[in-house]
Amino acid sequence: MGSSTTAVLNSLAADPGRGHHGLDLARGAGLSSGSLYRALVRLLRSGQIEARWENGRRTYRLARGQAVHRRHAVPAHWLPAALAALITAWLVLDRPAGVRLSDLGVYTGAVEGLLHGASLYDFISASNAPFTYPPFAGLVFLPLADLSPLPLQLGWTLATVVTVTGLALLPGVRAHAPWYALVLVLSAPVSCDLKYGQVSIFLAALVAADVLLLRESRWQGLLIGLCAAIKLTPLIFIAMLWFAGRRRAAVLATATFTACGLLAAVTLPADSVRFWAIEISHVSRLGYITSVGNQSLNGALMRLDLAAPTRSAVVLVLGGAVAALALFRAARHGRRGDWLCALVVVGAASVVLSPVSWTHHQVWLVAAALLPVRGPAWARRAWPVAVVAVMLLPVTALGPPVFSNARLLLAIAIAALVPFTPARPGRSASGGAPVPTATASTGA
Amino acid sequence: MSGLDRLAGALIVATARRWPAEIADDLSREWLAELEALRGRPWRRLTFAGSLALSPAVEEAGEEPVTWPARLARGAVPVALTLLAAALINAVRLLYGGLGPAAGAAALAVAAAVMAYAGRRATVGRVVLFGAALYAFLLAGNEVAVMPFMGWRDIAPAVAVWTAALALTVRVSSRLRASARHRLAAPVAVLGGVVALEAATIAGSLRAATALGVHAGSAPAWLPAALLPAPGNGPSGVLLGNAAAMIGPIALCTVAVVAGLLRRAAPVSRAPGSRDALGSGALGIVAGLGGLAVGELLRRGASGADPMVFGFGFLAHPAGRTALALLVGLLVAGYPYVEFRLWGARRQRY
Repeated sequence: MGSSTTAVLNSLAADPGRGHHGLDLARGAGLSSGSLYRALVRLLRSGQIEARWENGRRTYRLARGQAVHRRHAVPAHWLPAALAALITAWLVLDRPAGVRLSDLGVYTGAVEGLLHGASLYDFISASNAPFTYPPFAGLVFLPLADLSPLPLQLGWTLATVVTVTGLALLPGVRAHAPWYALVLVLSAPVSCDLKYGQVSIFLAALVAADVLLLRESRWQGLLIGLCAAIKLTPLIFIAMLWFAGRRRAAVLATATFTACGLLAAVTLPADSVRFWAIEISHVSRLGYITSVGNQSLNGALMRLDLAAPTRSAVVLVLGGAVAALALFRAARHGRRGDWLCALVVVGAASVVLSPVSWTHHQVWLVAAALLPVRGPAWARRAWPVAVVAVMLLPVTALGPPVFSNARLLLAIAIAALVPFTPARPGRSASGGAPVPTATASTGA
Repeated sequence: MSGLDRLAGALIVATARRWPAEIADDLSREWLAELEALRGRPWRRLTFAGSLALSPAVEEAGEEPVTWPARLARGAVPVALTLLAAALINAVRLLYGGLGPAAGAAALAVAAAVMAYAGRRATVGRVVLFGAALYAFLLAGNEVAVMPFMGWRDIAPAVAVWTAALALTVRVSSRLRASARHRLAAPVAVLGGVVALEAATIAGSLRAATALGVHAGSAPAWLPAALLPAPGNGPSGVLLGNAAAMIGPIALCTVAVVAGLLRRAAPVSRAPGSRDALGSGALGIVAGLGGLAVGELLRRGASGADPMVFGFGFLAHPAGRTALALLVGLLVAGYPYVEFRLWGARRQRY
C-alpha cells in the first residue's frame, strides 16, 4: 500500500462517523489534489472506502467493517534519532578540513590519481592512509573524482544517515525502528562510519538487503557478490548462503564477485595484478593494527605480542572454529527463516576472523541487540542492555585484557556461544521479532 | 468570474479528459463542486486545479499503478534510444567510409530497422524527452563541434523545431487512431515525420546558409541533398555536410517515433504478476556500477583514437560516464516496466 492511500485511510479513520469531502481529505492527509484523487480512486476500486453524493458534493468514508491501517510509528519517535544524527553530523563536518572524513579523502585521492595515470595503490593520504580495497572499488569510486570536497562530504554524510535509517527499518520491526536507529547512530561503528566517511555502512546495508529483502528473489546473491568485489570481508556471507541451502544465490554471488573482479582486471590490469599478488597480503598497510581499534582475533593476539607463526596458527584454529560454528548456527537459523539472526551471527564471525576489524566493521554486533536469547528472564533482559553498552560506550579504552577486547569477546559470543531463540510464527519476515499488525477495526 | 477562475475551470475539464472514461464524468462533476466550495479563494482554486492538471491520471481499472521506478525507467528509454541512434549513425559512417556507398546504404537501412523495432511507444512526452536527449548528446556530448556549424545556435533551433513538429504529429495521429480513422493516421504519422525532419534541417542550417552565402530559397532541397552520398564542394557542400552530420541521429529517432505511431495495437497492460521489483533493483545497482567500470574501460581504450566519436564526447568526463552508468542501471532495474524489447526478450508493456 502506498503512502498516499495510507494517509487517506488514516485521515478517514480519524473521524470514521462522517463523510469527508475531497478538500477535507487533502488537508487532513497532507496531499495535493492530484495525489489525493489517484489514491481515492484506487481505494474505491479496492472496496476499502465508499463514496456518496451529499448536497452536490461527493463525500468519502471507510467501507463498513474495513480495518484501518494506522501508521506504525509516530514521526515524533524518530526525533531522538534525527537529533542524534544531526549532532553527530555537525561534529563530524565541523572537524578541520585536513582530517574531516579522512577515508573518503583516501577514496577520492586514489581515483583522482587513477584518472591521471597513477596506480590506486601508490596513493598515500595526508594522514598516511593508503587505498586498500580491490581494484573494482577504485572503479566504483570514480564518480567521486574531482568533486568539490565540502559538497561531497555533506552528500556522503547525508547518504550515511539515510542508510542507517534503512538499516534500522530492514529487520522489519517498524515499532522498534526509531529506537534501533537511535542506538545505531550513537553506536561506535556508525559514529566511525560518519567520522571517517567510510564505505562500510553502505556495504553492510547492501548485504543486509540481499539477505533480508531478496529472500524470495531469483537475484539473491547479487548484492553480496558486488559488496565482496568492493571489499573482501562480505565473502563469508556467500558461505552462509551455501550452507543455508541458498545454493543458487551463493553461485550468483560468486559469479558476480568474479565478474566484477574480471572487469576490473581488464580495465586496470596492472593494479589488479598488484592487488591480488602483493597488496592483499600486505596487512600492515591497513594502519595501526595493534591498536584496540582492531577488534579481530588477529589484533588481540598481536596486542599479546604473540609471534607471527603462533598467531597465525591460533587464528587459523580458533578463528576457523568460531567461523565454522557460526556458519553452522547461521545455516540452521536460515533454514528456519530467521535470516536476521543468520546475518548477525555470520557478521560477528567476520569480525573475529578478519585480519583487521576496525570499529566501523562491527555494525553487525549492534544488530545483535535485536535478537532474543534463550534463558532465564534476567538474561533475556540483560542481553540487549549488554550489547548496547559494549557497542555504545568506549569500553575498549578501559584497559587490558578484558575491556580492551570487549567487542571481540562480544563477537565471539554472538558467533558461537549465545543461544538465540528460533523464529516463531508471527515474527517478521526477517525473523527478528514479532511484526505488530497495527490494524484495528473502526467499526464503521 | 475572474481569469484565474476560468483557467481553473478549464484545467479541470482538460484533466478529466485524461482520466479513465468510466469515472471521468463523476470526477469532473466532483472537482467542479470542490472548486465551487473554494469560491472567493482564486489562488487556492488554481492550485487545486493545477495539481490535478500536472499529476498523472490514475491507471485504468485492472492495471497496476505506475510507480516512480516505472516512470524513471520509461523516461530513460528515449535517452537510451538517442544514444543507440548516435551509435548506429557512427557505424553507418564507418561502413560508408570503409566499404563505400552501397555498404553505407545497407547499414543505414539496418539502423532504421533497428530503431523501428526498438521504438515501441510514441507519446508527446516521449518526443519531448527525445528532443532533450538529442540536444544534450549532440551538443553537450560534443564539446568540440564535429562540423563548423554545430554549436548551440544551430542545434537548438533544429531540435526545438523537430520536437514541436513531431509532438504535433503524434498528437494528431493518435487522435485519428483513437477515432478509428486508421487509414488517415498512418500517412499523417509518416508525413509528419518527414516534415519534422525537413523543418529541423532548415532551422539547423539557416545560420550556416547566412554565413556561407547560400541562398535560403534552396532550403527545401537541403534535406534530400544532405542524404545523398556526396554533398559536393564549395559553400553548399559545407552546408550539406553539416546538415547531414546533424540530421543523422535525429532521423533515426524520427524513425523510432513514427514506427511507434504506425503500430496498430495499443499498448496492453499486464496484470500484476510475479514481477521481482527488489531483484530488478539489485540488478540495476550491479549493472550501474558495472557500467562505471565499462565507461572507464572505454575511456582508456579510446585514448589516442578519434576524440570526436559523434554523440559520445561526454564519456571523456567522469560526470558523463556516471550519467551513462545511471542510465544503464535505470534501464536494467526498470526493464520489467518498459516496452523496450531486445533480442526477443519477453515483451512487457505498461
